[in-house]
This record gives sequence, structure tokens and C-alpha cells, in this order.
Amino acid sequence: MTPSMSSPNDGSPARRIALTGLLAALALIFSYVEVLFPLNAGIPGIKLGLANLVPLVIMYRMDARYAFAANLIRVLLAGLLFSGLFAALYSLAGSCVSFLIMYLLKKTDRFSIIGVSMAGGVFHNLGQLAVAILLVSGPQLIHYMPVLILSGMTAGIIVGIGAFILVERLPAKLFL
Amino acid sequence: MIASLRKADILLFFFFLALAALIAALPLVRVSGGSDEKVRIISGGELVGIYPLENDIEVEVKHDGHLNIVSIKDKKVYMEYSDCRNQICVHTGEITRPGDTIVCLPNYLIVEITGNEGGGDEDDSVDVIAK
Repeated sequence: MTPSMSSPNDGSPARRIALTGLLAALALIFSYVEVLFPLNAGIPGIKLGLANLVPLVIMYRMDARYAFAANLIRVLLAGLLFSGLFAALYSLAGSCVSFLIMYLLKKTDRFSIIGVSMAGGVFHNLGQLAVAILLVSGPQLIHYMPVLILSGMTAGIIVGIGAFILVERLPAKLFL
Repeated sequence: MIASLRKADILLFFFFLALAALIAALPLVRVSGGSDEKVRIISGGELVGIYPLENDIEVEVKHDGHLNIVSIKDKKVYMEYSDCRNQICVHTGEITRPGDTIVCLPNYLIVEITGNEGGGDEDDSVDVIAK
């Protein structure tokens, strides 16, 4: 056995990949919880996006690549399990745009995790809206944009506060 | 936690708010009010045609040797001419709203306006299911 494999906390790629899979499963549970108890404040189609906690925390404590992988797995599985192929397309578009924006904002190093999450929430909704405009009913859907921006901000800030607490408090040895 | 907020966070927050307000204030083309209202003409149980309420047109409908002329003008529909006995359809006058009909029973003719039922506000025009 090589020395690098002897310690359980040695930060090997295999360990990170396993952890990524575990966290993707956790994110899937978050998605499931939101299917069971939709926190939408009375507006249909709006949700909190608890599952975005996972890529945020991974991005800040591990690496954006693992965050992207975990998020992609979660979106695909949750889409296929809970909402069907067509809705999975919407989710995928939303989460890819959202992830890209969060990654870029974090890279600038000018935003806190709460700001990054807020932008992620907004662009998740805008990405979905873009797909809806392309696929369904054309530009009059832009009427819906202010609602989507505001709800994305609200959800993003709430999730961002949660991610902030988690990033502060999760033990360091978890993310080696 | 508040202390962790950066200047860029606050700026972005107000940028999003301003963007939402701006789009909400834009004088966008309202979808409601008739852009998709259509006039359906049914003769003897068969659909003769569907015409947009917007375009002025006169339609001659011949059925069983009888003649009717339906006129669409200025978003109003009326029976221009009918060779039927009672002339009820001609006397019906102009119809303008979705759900309104002109019926000429002797000639088996129905003219109706379809579209966003009841005038419809704009929320009805956006109807998408996405979870």
C-alpha cells in the first residue's frame, strides 16, 4: 500500500470523487424534499432551490469542477425522476447558465457567497425563461421576467445565507 | 454574516432590482385585446373558413343554392346580405366579441368569433407548465 493511500484524510482524487458522488446524492435529496414540500410562497413554478447549496459549498470548499459534476448529476437525475424529460431540459438550461454565472462571479473575487448565490438564483430563472421563449411561446413571455428576477434574488439570497453558514462551519477534514 | 457582504453584492442587488423594475415598466405590446381573435364561418355543419378579425374582408357563402355574404370590417362582423326568408341574421347587426355569433337558420349558416374568451387579461395568454 502506498503511503498516500494509507491515511483516510490524505486528499486523494479518489476520495474527492467519492465525496462528490455522495454530495450529488445529498443534492438529489434536497431536490426530493422540495418536490414533497414545495416552498413557493404561493407562486406556482417558483421554488427555493435548496439543492444549490451543494454546488455552492463544493465550489467554495473544494473546486468548481467537482461542483459542476455534482450539480449536473443532480439536475439530470432529479429531472428524470421527478419531472420528466421535457422539464429536465428546462432545469438543465437554468442550472448550466446559473452555474456559469456563479463560477465567473466567484472568480472575480469581488462577491461574497451570498451575492454569488443571488446571481445564481436569478440566472437559473432567466436561463429557463430563455428556453421557454425559444421552445414555447415567443417573446411575450418576457412579461414574466420581473417576477423571475425577484424570486430568483429572494431564493438565491436565502440559499446563499445557508451556504455561507455551511462553508464556515463544515469541518475542514471533510474536504481534503 | 452581514459583515461578509461586499460592495459588489450590494451593487448587484440593486442592479437586479433596477432591471426587474425597468422590464416591468417597459411599454410592451399587450397580447390581449384581439390579436388572436378569429371569425369562424360554418355552413351546413362544415367549416367554410377561419378569418382573422383584424383584416377587412367579404366572404360569400353558397350553400344549397342559397347565398349569404359575411362582412368583416373594422374588427366588426355583420351579415351583409342573406337571401333567407326571415332576415334575422342581417338584423342581428354587428358582433365584436369572442363568443358572439350570427346565425342564419334557414341557410344553415353560423358565424362566430373565437379567441381569448371573455376578453381575457394577459395572464391567460401565458400558460406554461414547467416544474
